[in-house]
Amino acid sequence: MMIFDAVADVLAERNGCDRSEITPDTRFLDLGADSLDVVEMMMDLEEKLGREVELTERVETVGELVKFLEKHYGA
Amino acid sequence: MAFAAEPYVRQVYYYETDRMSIVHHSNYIRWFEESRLDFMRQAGLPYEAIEREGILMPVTDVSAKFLSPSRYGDTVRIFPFMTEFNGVRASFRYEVRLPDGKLLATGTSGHCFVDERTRVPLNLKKRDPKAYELLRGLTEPDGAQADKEENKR
Repeated sequence: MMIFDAVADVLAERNGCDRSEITPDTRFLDLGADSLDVVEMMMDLEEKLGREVELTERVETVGELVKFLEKHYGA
Repeated sequence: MAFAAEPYVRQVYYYETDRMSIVHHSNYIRWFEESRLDFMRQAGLPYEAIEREGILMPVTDVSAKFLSPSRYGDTVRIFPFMTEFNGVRASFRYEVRLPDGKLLATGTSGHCFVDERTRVPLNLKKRDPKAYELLRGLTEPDGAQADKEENKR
């Protein structure tokens, strides 16, 4: 599964938003998710991706999170 | 068996009172913090131990409800409860009582865990699994400790 798809799926599930409206430019705050929600989201993401992930940088958009995950955990 | 901390007991100091001769509301927030740190110390995880791991525990929200005033000379007993903990967030609830059990104030506080250097929120389960397991064992049903205390009377 592509990382972007996994992130978008988890975000849509957690925040009850339309999956198709999530783009790399989508800001977490615009979805009502603060920085703690993002860290909590990582727990759901681990299940989706089937591996452990840990966020060590501050990210504000979906694209920034995807980039971080690709850099540290591969595509 | 769930962990039950002893209440945090303190005297009301003169400098904590205001022009109405009652404790100024801002002091209750400080008392909540004092009792929270005492709670963690009693649990075997003093706050300085968390800080030594490069982890900070900032406050994300705090609330207080003032039911009856406390005054200079009173002894207050503050009961902290950890009501929620998932490794990312922790929530506490507080009750401030007189020695006879009279409830003076209640409050809540929310916290998260951040890396001291980057200030990025972290998941304690990954960063410090030992602390995570310890804190996880401290969460108890809302009000359990106060109920125990009241039942003694």
